Amino acid sequence: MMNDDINKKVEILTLERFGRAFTFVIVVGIIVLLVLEIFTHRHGEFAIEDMFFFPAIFGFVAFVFVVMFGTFLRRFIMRDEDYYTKREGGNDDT
Amino acid sequence: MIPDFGLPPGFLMILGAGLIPFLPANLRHVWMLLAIACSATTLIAPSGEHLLWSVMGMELSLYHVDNLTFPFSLIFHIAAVLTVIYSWHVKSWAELTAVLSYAGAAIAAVHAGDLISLFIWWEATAITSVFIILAANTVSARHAAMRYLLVQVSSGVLLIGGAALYFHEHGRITFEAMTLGSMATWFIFIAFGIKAAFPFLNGWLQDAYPEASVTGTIALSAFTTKLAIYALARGFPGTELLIWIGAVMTAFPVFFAVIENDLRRVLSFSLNNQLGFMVVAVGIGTPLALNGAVAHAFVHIIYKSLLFMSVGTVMFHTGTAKASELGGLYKQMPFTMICCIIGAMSIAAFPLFSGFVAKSLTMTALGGTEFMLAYFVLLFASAGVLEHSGIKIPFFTFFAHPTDRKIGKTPTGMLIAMGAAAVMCIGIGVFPHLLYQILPYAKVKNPYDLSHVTGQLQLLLLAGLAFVVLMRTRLYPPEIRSTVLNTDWFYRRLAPSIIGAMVQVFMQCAKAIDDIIISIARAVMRGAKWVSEHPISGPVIPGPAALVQVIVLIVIMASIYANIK
Repeated sequence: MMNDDINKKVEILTLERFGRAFTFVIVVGIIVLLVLEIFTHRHGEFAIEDMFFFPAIFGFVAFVFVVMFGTFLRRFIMRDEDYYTKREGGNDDT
Repeated sequence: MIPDFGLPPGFLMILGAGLIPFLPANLRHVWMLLAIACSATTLIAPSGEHLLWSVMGMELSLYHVDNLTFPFSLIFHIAAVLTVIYSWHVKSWAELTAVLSYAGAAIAAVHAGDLISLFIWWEATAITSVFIILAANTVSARHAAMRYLLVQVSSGVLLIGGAALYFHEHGRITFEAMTLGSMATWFIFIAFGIKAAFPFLNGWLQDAYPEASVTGTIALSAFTTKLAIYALARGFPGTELLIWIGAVMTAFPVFFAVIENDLRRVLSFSLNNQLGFMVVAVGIGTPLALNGAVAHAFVHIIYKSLLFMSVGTVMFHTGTAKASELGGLYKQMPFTMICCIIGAMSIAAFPLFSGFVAKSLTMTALGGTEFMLAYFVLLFASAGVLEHSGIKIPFFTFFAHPTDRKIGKTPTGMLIAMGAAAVMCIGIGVFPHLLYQILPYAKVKNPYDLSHVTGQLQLLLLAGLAFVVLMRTRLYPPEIRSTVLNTDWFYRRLAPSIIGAMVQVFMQCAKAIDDIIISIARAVMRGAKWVSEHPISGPVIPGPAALVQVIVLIVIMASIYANIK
């Protein structure tokens, strides 16, 4: 039992380490892209895309919007797990 | 020398499928690969008509080959091979028969040079794929299969109706580029739109695909929808309406995918979103855009199969694909995790992965046109793709939180199929000319220039940062066991409710009318009884008395008659 608890804590710490590594890679990547943005000429398909760091800002805002609006939609389109099956029949029996 | 079996491509696979039930279980997969290999020999056939058949004054073209058929036929054969290898451990002859005949029907449909042949194979894909869903052998799969069949057959009925009208209008049934306008072309367009999962016609996809077995879903994800993309590319290239339909398709499924708990359903929403990119490309209709549609369909079949295979392998071991019940499997299933991440990076279009080299064609083709809004909708959807398929799938499956699940040995076939698909995802990403050389139209230049690469990386990495911020601030929504309503709600809940209410109102009206008739009859009966109990007597004239009796009798007869009716 005690071993299980220790293993679980180790697992949690490992997952947190992965999370930090993921964040580190993302941040380093963004810094490199920022440097490239300053010192090179990037052009997009439309003029507005040529604005400084446009795709980056667009990506950040779009991602947050997708998650936030999706979460908001839960109020309208989320139902109990058995919403259909309680009328149509079970889903595991053969 | 070109092998000539005198049969359309894919037909050999259908014939081969018919023998699967009679073969020993350990020979079935080898037999399937043999059938696919025989069918694949037709890939080297030159452009032209190879099998014509005159029926009732119409010339059916059963074996048409050109630049557009080749990439679709090739990737369908590859997808069939991947499915067979992935399902090597499956002994069910029913599922294997359905898979091989379904793949064969889809390949035959690609080579149909006329609308009647197309209809035949179009319906064949519908019927064979129903058996794949049924092979899951659960109650909900059986229900989903019936709904799926209803929708798919509706598509076929519209197609044959459109083909008949088209023949009436033009005197030919050649499957050629059409212009929207007449009822014939609208019928055909909607028939294609159903299978391409246009907005509001898409419910069947998210309803049925996740109900199939672990292996069945791999086959389903590859053929039907991409056959529809092929049909749109041949039948309606440059139809502007498709740009807007496609733009909506790319955007709206991402919101559903965010909150969906079943990861195979998330992948089905993701599939819908990817089809949107292809539909937009067909709508633009320039050679570069059509190349983009074909390239996207090609790579999408591989990376979507890979993602379904990864989640399927997890489901094979754990019995569930629900995000709320998974997580922490990175240690138990490292190979599957790596394959899943490769699939995720491919679909998110990271440079050096296959999605990038395909999607950049469509985005370039859309750039500089008057459809700037559609361009930015696609850019927005690209961030959405990263959310649901790039991050959500691998994160909630392999990380998220610790697990003490014990995982058994993964069948070798599953590992080989995932590995092969992962290699193809990276191979096409690193060597895009391998894909570009088989595209049907103009030559395509290398997508790896500084602007494309840094622009795409900016979009993806900052979207990734948004994920980190939302997770650390606990604003990212937790996974909840739930059902997310989709457009199938209209025929699963709304239509039955409306019809039920209408039947109830009708029954109540009928009962009310019945009650009125019965009460009139009773009143008449009471009157008749009163008359019989109060006989007309005394000094009266017989004429009026007899008249009263006759009138009472008529009323009684009429009321009884009305009541019987």
